[in-house]
Amino acid sequence: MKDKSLWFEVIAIVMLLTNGLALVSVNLPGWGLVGIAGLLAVISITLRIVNEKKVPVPVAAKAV
Amino acid sequence: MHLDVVAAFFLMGVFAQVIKAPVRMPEGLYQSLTIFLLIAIGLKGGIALEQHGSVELLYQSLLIIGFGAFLPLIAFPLLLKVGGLSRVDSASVAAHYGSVSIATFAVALAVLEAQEIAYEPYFPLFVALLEVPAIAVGLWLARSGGQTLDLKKVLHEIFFNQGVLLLVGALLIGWWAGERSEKLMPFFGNMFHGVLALFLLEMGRVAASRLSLLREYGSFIASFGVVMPLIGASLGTLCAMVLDLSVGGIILLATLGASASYIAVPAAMSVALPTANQSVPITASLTVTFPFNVLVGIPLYSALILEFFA
Repeated sequence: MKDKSLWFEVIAIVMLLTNGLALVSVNLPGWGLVGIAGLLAVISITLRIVNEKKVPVPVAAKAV
Repeated sequence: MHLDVVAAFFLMGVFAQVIKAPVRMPEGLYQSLTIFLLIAIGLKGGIALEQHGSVELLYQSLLIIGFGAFLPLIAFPLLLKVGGLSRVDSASVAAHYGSVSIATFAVALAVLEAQEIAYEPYFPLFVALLEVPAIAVGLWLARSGGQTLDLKKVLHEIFFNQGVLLLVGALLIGWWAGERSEKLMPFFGNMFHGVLALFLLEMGRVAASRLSLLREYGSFIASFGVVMPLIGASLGTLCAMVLDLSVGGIILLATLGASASYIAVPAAMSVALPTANQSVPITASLTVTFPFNVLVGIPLYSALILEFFA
């Protein structure tokens, strides 16, 4: 399930970025989409790092 | 990118919250501003309805209801299969994204009026029609997962919540009174933009104060809160083309398709689906989708639609 949401996020970021840049290249307001793509990438990476750190250490490993 | 002056107040609210400045509106005032916006939009639409009502409007209304019922059917599988949310939570979030945000609509109206772009003046009727079908579809989606409903209570919340009641009530009063309503317009008309600016100031503060909740619900909700409005805006544009609306009308329907409810639907869902986590859809719609639409979406939809349809 985690992989599906990761793929969804990656596809969303890539599509926002490409569409945003395509709009900018034809003088349409695409910088907002580019900025949002960057923001989503930061949120996705940061939250994954934070959540990984939160995973409880197994009791057996703690004892060692 | 063109940012409307009222949207700048939203940014000011975000900034005030980020630097922890003591800018806080009394809860009663925030409620009063919401009531003002609902009545102002409904009244204006009702007066226009009295002047422009036709059989064609009935056909348009039916298509709008169909559009509102269709949006949760797209959001639901994304939330359930991709996001990994429970069936009840997926149904609840899907209902929020199928319904509409009156504040987002108000910002789109302000943008159109500032740029002097004409639109169908009876549009508030469509806003009222879009509030309800998504809730019904959301409940149906949740119910197929074995949820039991107190139908009487649920119907009461769907049709008599603050948003629907005030919007439809003002619409009917405007429609019934017609030009006689004009004497109310110095208050509900001229003050609209000022009240909207105050409302957005508080919305910016509230949205920023909920940012930390995103950490709890994961990055999927953030991505969903951006992708779903873009899907809704595209479908809204298609629907507006079928309805043969003006350029302003296309922008408004795209904006409505992109918006997510955070007033009417949460009230109905808390009664109808008490087991659903009410915080997930409110965080997504208020913290992600509303700011996205106000700061990026509406300028983007209007620029693209003006480019291709004007």
